[in-house]
Amino acid sequence: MSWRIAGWIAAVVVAAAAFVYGALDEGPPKTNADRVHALAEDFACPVCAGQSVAESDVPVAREIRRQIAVWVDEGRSDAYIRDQLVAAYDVDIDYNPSGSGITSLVWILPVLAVGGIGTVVVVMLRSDRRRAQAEAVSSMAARRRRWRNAAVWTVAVVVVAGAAGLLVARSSGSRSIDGSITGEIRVTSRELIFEAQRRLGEGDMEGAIAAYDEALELQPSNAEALTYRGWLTSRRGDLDTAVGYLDDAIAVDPAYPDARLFRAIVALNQGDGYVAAAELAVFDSLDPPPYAEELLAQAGVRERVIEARYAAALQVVDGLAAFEERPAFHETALGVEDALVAAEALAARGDLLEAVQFLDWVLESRPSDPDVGAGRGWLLVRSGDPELLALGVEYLDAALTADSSNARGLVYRAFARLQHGDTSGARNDLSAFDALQHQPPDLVRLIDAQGLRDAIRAPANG
Amino acid sequence: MNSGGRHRRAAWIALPVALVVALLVVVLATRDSAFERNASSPILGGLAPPVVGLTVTGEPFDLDGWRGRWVVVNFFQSTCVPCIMEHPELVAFDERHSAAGDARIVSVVFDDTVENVREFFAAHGGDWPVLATGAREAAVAYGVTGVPESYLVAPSGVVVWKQLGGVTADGIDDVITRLSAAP
Repeated sequence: MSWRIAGWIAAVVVAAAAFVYGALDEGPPKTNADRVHALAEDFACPVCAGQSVAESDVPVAREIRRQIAVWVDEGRSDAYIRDQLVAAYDVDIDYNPSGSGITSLVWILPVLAVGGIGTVVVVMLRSDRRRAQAEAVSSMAARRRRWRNAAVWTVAVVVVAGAAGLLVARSSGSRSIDGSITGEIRVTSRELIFEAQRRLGEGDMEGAIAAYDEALELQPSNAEALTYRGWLTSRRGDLDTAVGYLDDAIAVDPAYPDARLFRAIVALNQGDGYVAAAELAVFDSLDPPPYAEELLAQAGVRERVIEARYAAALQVVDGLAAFEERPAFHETALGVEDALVAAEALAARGDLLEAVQFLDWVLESRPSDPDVGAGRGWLLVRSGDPELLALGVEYLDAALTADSSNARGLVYRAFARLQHGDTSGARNDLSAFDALQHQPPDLVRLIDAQGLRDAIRAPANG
Repeated sequence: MNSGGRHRRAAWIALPVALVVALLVVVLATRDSAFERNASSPILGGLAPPVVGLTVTGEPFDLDGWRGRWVVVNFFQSTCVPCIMEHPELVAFDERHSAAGDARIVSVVFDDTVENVREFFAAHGGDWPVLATGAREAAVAYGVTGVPESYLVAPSGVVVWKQLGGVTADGIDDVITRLSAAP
């Protein structure tokens, strides 16, 4: 075989190997999502045995994964992320220790070992070869040496060119920060979200999901993409997976109203009124945009949350023993908020007397709780009976004596005073409520729904 | 080749391998145990990582604004039993120092919801900032592995002490007294 033919064969082998490798090998991470996963696999879960951050589902691993996603989306380098995690959790978290300090021995020692063994082998082979050369005198030996040289050069070409080919195959298609030579991300996550919205508008739910998936590949911590991916997943009927997306969205941006709204709806669909109520309370505190309020109203979320909470509360109350055999309130697992909802549920069912008795039972354990006192007073005020109204005001007065800034007490007493014809007193209570640092949204809605402000203003204007 | 040559060659190859193995044993044997590393932290002795964000009541918070005081940075979760058991101690510590203002507490929510935390504080007391947004960044920056976990930041802004598990008011005060007396 001539040198030229050997060279061509080597080139063909190298080209074929590079193409096969390029086609089969996944190469470096191509998207942010890939990068997040690859990085998460590089770090040990700090509290698990033998699991990476990518594999573990303990809270600390979840938090680290989410933080890696945020860093990646911010365009931080792998070295930055590694430095941050090592600075916080020490070098043991890093599955790929750095090449400095004592950890560098992990890299140096194997190289030293291979080098040492190689040196020993070379020295011994050389002494063998010297002995053999002294014995080899024939022309056959010279010819064999030429063939051996040709073979060595061919192998060297294959190895060098092959390594170069593999490097090209690995780097082609990869995108890194400032790595314009290897290409750039031309489609942004924002554009993909617009694309998803357009497809959704056309009724193409699968297309929208695919676009949101692409957006999340580019930017795994995009709260909007996570939220709507979760929402569309819930509309497919896969509520558990939807909850995962929505919880991730909330973790990334706790103040994103859409995520809270959809999480509440999904919780309702799962029959979990408590989670739905909690998410709705957060949603209300976020000053949600009008479109979200509209969606909330269209889906009847508020009504469904109240129904679900009432149903759950009534189930708890019905499960309790009769009053005379019932353990004390503080001996049960019920909280004050549960008790107030239960009382409202009983009143809504038409069992006003039982609702009042129920709160009396709570007051035996919590005699000075202003919320319970205000709740009891409010039940009486709404009875329509003048005597009960006066009694209700007494309870509200007592609640506000215990806590003059009790929001429920102020609002309920404003209503009661107005019923009594005491407009000035009602106005004072409402002013005190407005001056509170935090006005519970349910009370604000009650004031608006019942037209309390207009009713207070009316006599003054007239 | 005679057997003497083979033995000599094997000995030459075994020598570097044995050397490397011996070095690895030395490296591994001289490292801190997992328990010791857990009780320490790489952030001890350095400037406190940022604790910045909005509290559960919507107020902005920045740990740097408390430079000049002792600060307990407490990571907690409203449903974790040790956190519930620890809470009265934090309340006691806060009450002990609130008048003088020489030491403060900031709690950081770990893997929990704002509404749970609000209910937790309403039920168990406590009137100090509780970070809601920026909590994950803070938890990762401090290397939190579970809750409750607390760090003590000196008036100079340096992290001087770490506690895995619940703290006590007396325990924190002991640390402050000891470190204040140190030259």
